[in-house]
Amino acid sequence: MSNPSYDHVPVRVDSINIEGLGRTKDDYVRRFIGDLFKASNFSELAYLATEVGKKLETIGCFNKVNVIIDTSKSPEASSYDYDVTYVVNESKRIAGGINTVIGSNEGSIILSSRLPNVVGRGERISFEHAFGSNNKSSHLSFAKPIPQLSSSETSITFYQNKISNVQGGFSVFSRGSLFDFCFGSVQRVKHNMQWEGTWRELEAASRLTSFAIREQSGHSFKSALRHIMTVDHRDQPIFPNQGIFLRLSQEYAGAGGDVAYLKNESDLQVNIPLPFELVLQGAFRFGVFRPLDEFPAYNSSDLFFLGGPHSLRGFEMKSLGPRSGSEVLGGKSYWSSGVHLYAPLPFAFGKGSFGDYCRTHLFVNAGNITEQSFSFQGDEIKASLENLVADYKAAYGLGLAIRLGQIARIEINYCWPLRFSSVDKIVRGMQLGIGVEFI
Amino acid sequence: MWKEALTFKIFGNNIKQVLGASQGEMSKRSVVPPEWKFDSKDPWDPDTFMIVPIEKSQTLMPETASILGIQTFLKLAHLPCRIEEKFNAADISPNGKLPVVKCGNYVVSELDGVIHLTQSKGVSLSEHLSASEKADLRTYLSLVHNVFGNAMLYFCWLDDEVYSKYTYLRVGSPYNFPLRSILPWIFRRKAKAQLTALKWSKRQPADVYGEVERGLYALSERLGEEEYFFGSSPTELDAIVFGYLFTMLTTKLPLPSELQLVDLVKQHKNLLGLVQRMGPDL
Repeated sequence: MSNPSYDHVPVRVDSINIEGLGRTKDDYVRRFIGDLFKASNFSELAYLATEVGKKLETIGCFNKVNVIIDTSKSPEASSYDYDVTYVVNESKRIAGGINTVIGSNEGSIILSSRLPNVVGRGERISFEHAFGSNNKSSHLSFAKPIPQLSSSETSITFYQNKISNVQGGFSVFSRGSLFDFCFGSVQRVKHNMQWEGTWRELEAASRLTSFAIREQSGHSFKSALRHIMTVDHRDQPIFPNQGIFLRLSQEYAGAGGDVAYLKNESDLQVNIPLPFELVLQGAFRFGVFRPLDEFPAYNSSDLFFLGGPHSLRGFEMKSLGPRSGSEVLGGKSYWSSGVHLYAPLPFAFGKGSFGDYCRTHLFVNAGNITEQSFSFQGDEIKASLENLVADYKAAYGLGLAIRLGQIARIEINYCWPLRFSSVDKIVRGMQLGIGVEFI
Repeated sequence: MWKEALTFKIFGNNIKQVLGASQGEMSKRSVVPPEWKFDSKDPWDPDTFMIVPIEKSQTLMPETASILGIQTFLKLAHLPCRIEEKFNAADISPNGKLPVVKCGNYVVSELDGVIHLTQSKGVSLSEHLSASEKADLRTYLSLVHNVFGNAMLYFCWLDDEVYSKYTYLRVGSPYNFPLRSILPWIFRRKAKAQLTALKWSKRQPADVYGEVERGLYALSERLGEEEYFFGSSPTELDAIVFGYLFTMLTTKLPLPSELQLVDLVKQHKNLLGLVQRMGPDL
């Protein structure tokens, strides 16, 4: 409500025009503009007109939305009748791209194409195919917004990928489908309800792969129900200055299929702004895997792996936990935590330009992973806790982090492992990390 | 040369066997040319086990035959080996073939792998044979494997009746929906491709039956009135032939009566005698 003097100018919205509609359906657009008729004074009208304009930009139909407010031209119009016109630019029928991606242990090329607003109500189809040096994947997805519910969407994705787990000594070829229903609720809380059906084929990496991995080879069908709740109060996802982030995910596999387990993971991050542009960040993750069948109806790819710049710096990637020969088998419960002190580059170096993409940090991180699952029952809870805390691993260090957009980041750290056992694969010195999620 | 009575469990059938076995020194000239270097200083691991599919509900006829043959071979060689049933036995195998034998750190599969492994441990059933006899042995082994093995594959996968009433049900049995229906179809495509490559897929069931008949005839000729194929002690060939013949005698596929393999075996009295000598409970 910008200028108080406009509060007293009475307004009646006579008509709303949308110019530039092609394949977008009228009824879909009409849902978003109805609020405008409620405007009773001019500043309210101006506010609502921009809000509706912003909304129209997010419904997946238009590239550009301009708004024009004018007095009504109709012959019976009174002096306080107004017309609102939106000039929209519909997105093209097809968009595509070729990208290259450098991941933590390989490079790949991604071919993608997108059909936005395909039927005229914000539906979109996207297809992506990635070729990597070890891995390849493709997926096809169809998403449809639900205009009746705010920020909600249903989507179905069909995918096929091959992911190799170098440390585990296996690769998994999966093909499957994922149904997702996502909706927002109060206080920036987002829920995802998912069903995923995957046909997996696990393959031992080589003839020399340890038998503990080899004997898991073969086919299985996983049918899993998942609920992910995300609360994000941070000001930005990478290098936040303040706010908390919480994600709780529950997965139940066993609604049909050959795999039966329960998997819970929680992820908490707290950011506290300090003077001198310093930010103190605390992060904690905890995961529990519980088999639901006496017969081992799961494989190593369902379990947790710990170690490396994303989960426990100062240790080699996914190297901790139970192993057999040189292969890491994966654990059934883990925790990892970290405390960071982030600062901008020293002497305000590069401030306003590339310096904004960089942060230096001091960190201490600790965590552990065990073969046993965590039990929440009475007396056992103490034993489980002791088991998880005993022989925990820890490391500290300092480093430089660079963000790539608001999605990914690169870290170069110098690490000093602090607590470790003789069999752990530690990294004393430089460690490089590229990825999306870091502890 | 000595004989010994042994009782062991072959796939739930208790077969009392009277076996003869020759113990030998390390033979450099082996039945199978060496491919991998095994550490021959390592003795045979007493905890060696053979991984096989679930016998009651999953194994197919050709698999049963080769599992039984190799089991017999290990028994003849006095190498202890227990059986472990796993529904993913074929996936565990390094080359997808059955059975899989895990001895110490080594995982080998099929007859070739097993023979090679035992030879590296200094055990062979054919080291006393002359060079030409060894060549014969190799020829007959490949004859048995190619003719009987492929014929069984043919009937299991290419005959629609057998596929729908036997193969499909058994292959899918360890899985739940939807793999229960998808996997038999995938494996059938693989088996078809394999048989096409061997030029077996265009054959008529009667041709395949005739092929088995000729194979049995050749074996029967070779055996003659002898106790075993190469004299008075059994070799690898006897073990493998026993595996196939025993399986043909005991497994009845849902085929029309003129294609039942059991009748073919029964025509050769000397082969029946061999099976009876090796498994008297039959």
